[in-house]
Amino acid sequence: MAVQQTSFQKKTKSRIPYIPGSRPSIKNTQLLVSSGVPSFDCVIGGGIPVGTLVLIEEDKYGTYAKLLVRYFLAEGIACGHSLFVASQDLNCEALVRELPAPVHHDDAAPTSELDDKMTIAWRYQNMREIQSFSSNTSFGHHYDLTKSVDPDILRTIDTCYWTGPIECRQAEGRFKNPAYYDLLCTIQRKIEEGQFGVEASPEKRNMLRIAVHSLGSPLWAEQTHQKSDLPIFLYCLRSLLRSAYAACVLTLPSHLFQETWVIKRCQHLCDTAVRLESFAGSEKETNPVYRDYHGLFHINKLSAINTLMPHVPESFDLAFRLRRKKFSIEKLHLPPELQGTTQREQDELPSVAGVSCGGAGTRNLLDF
Amino acid sequence: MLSNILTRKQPSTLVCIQDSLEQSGLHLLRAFAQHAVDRKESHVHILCYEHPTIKMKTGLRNSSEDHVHFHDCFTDHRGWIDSQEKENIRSDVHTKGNSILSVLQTSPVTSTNDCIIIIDSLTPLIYNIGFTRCYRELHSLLVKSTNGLTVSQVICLIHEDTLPDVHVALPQLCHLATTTVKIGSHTQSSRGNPTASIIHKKQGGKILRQVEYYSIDADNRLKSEILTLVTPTVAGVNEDENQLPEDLTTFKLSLGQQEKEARSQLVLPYLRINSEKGGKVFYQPDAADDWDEEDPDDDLDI
Amino acid sequence: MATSVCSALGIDQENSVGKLIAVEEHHSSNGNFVLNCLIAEQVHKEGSVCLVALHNSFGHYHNVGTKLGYNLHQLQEKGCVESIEVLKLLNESLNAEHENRVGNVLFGDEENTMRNLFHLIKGKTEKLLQKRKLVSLVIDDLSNLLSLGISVKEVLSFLQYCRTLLESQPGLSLVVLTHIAEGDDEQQLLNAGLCHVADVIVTVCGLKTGQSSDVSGSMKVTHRRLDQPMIAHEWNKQNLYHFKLLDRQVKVFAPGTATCLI
Repeated sequence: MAVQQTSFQKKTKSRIPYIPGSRPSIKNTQLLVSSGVPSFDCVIGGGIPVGTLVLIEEDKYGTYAKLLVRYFLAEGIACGHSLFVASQDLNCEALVRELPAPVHHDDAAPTSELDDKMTIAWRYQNMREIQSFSSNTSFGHHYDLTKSVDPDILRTIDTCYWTGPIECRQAEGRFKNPAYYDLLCTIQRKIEEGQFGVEASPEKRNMLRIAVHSLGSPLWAEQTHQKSDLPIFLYCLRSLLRSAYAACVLTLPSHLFQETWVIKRCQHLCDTAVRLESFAGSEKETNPVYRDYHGLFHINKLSAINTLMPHVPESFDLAFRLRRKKFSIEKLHLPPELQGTTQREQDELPSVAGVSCGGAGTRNLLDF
Repeated sequence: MLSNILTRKQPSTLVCIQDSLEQSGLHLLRAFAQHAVDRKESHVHILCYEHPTIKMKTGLRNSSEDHVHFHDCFTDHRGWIDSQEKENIRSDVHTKGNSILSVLQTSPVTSTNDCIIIIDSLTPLIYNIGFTRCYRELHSLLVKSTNGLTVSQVICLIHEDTLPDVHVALPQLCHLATTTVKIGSHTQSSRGNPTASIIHKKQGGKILRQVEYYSIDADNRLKSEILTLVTPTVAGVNEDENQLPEDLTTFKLSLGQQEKEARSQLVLPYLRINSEKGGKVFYQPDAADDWDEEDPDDDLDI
Repeated sequence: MATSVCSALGIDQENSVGKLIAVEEHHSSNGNFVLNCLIAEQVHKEGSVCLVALHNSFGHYHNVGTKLGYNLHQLQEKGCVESIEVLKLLNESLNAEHENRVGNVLFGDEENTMRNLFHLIKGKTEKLLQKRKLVSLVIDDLSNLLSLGISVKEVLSFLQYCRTLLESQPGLSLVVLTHIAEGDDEQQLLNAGLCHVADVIVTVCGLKTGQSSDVSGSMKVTHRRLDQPMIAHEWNKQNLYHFKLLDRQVKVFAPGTATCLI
């Protein structure tokens, strides 16, 4: 009895189904979808592999994590994928209604401003920020945060919401927390009904994008003395995703967690794990080193599915910057000379030890 | 002292050997077992919880003699094999892996008189029946005499890094034990041999403490010597703290002896130690220099 | 391609039959490559493999295997490779009806779950041994059982039962990977319980000083020769290597000798 295949290895190219908005990876035949942020796609190796979990540890006030979720869902709308949005902290329907619209070709002129500056330092023209996708492919778009998505397009998208467990739901099996159990069952049902499973054979294949916002926030915790159900939930979710055409982005307010072992377990059970650190409200906001950026982007883990070697990004020191039409993740580079002081600091201080001439008690300016 | 305990010159009813992943105490346990087997005075029961009996058997000489009994508490310790067809069997009460007493009671009465018991690891037992019950069983082995079972000595091995609640369980076990031997890995003064910190409670109430290093040869014979620590001088201790850890990178960070000597002999180019006045500028004019002896500030009114 | 890892482990010289190789994967590193290389070695020796996949699906191992030179699907069709996909079992238990949930992975009793899994493995290894003399039981990753809500006690009992197979089924060797993170008590206990009974321990960690594009991490191999007498300085000798993961191979080298540095 041959065991059925459950993940996406394909023997021949024809077996890769065509799903709009997805494309095979350059390195292996793993199918990828865009996260909605082209520079994020680039950093994690081309895109989010289908059937995997992406963990985003939230920044302190959650603004940028929420933004990444919005980009992820907006990309789903642009590609015609089905959406599943879950959160106990915010209004899912409002979130989807207010998703940003994609930037169109005529609106975008991202590189022209840069071209003007590079007359003297023309050699640096090539060393731009990490961005690799031009907007004429159907993979990865830029989004305009001031414009909302067209409600007519939104109506055509199959969207599903989860805002909390139903009243009478009891946790079963090894789950003790009904919220996790309920969410898991709802996702499982959605995958079945929408025929997203690998085994299913619908007429037209489509992808399911699952976004779970603020998983494990204080609204999820029932009793603090019990061991967290989060690892069980994630392991079960991993098993569901591995046999479905789906990708999941989760955000976790890890700075609110008491036990660090739970966070590490979550990182282990997810395929890609990143952490956002925003400068807002911290002392780094005024630090001149970081003045061009809004926060730091830490990579904890990159997916190594169907491959021996996980993607190695150009640099692990990354920072992010938000503009109206673009959210970019770039290599952190220091700004040029911070403050133009022509006087050298050591000239102001009396020279203390080391080689010096002149007797004690008199001014010890090194006089050349 | 370790050898005395092994040879029973220093009697000890419960010897508890504590080891960790850094250094295993299995060799020491085997040395104890070998000595008990060689003495031939009483029956020796070897309970194998963590390893198959064949492992202990092959490690000991004369292990097939009549007075040596091996008990397999390793295979099928939860009764899973027999109950394949039956569901929901609560098997933790009756299977052989779960009670020392019931295991020993399967042996003939003649062999359990004044016997020596060797346990290869307490960890599986503690997991299966819980620490409290395990403690109670050990205690009853030493104190009571049930059904003709009298024990003259128990030697057991415990892995301290596998104990749940180790900070509670371990002191309790040491409280019960007559001798506690804590195994450590080799140190500077132990010549590559593992160390043993021994705490022994004598019958009169006196407590003996000793740190020794030991070695065990291929015939399971123990040799131990007292570990004399090289006490560092105060300056030496400071030096240790300032020393860089050498295995942080593959570059050589420290200086060799020759290099240190060369460094101390180096004369810095512009430093001249002038003990009389402090610093002074020494100017040696070249042939091309135009040195004017006049003071340029002569015309000033200072 | 896989030979550099295997020679570092010393298994090309020593016979690994009847032995347990424990792979300790520290957080922030990926020890999967060790398993993939050991499977490659086993296939090369014309042995069979029983893979218990708890962390990834079977397709993942097949895909990596094609890069290292073996085809798991083909071998499975020939009957030389058996697999137990726990992720799939988990999927089935979520779909199962209420009445059938007794022996279920997620909903059944802990002990029953472990017992059923053990029996499943026992059946598969017996079947493989009928065909070929050498069988390698590979478990990836033991600590995921903890993430199913199963207690350390049951997982260790399960491990002990798998070790009994080493005796009852001659020709079998065991390779178990477990993940360990600092601060996670359960994983630490499980790891200690595993390493104490292992014959070879392979510790895979990330570099202490950060991430590098030339070195993927460090690998420490410890041979616990419990059967042999203790020789001063020699017992429990540890060998430290650095490794670099590439698309089709793993390069293993002594620390400080990465090809870019030489």
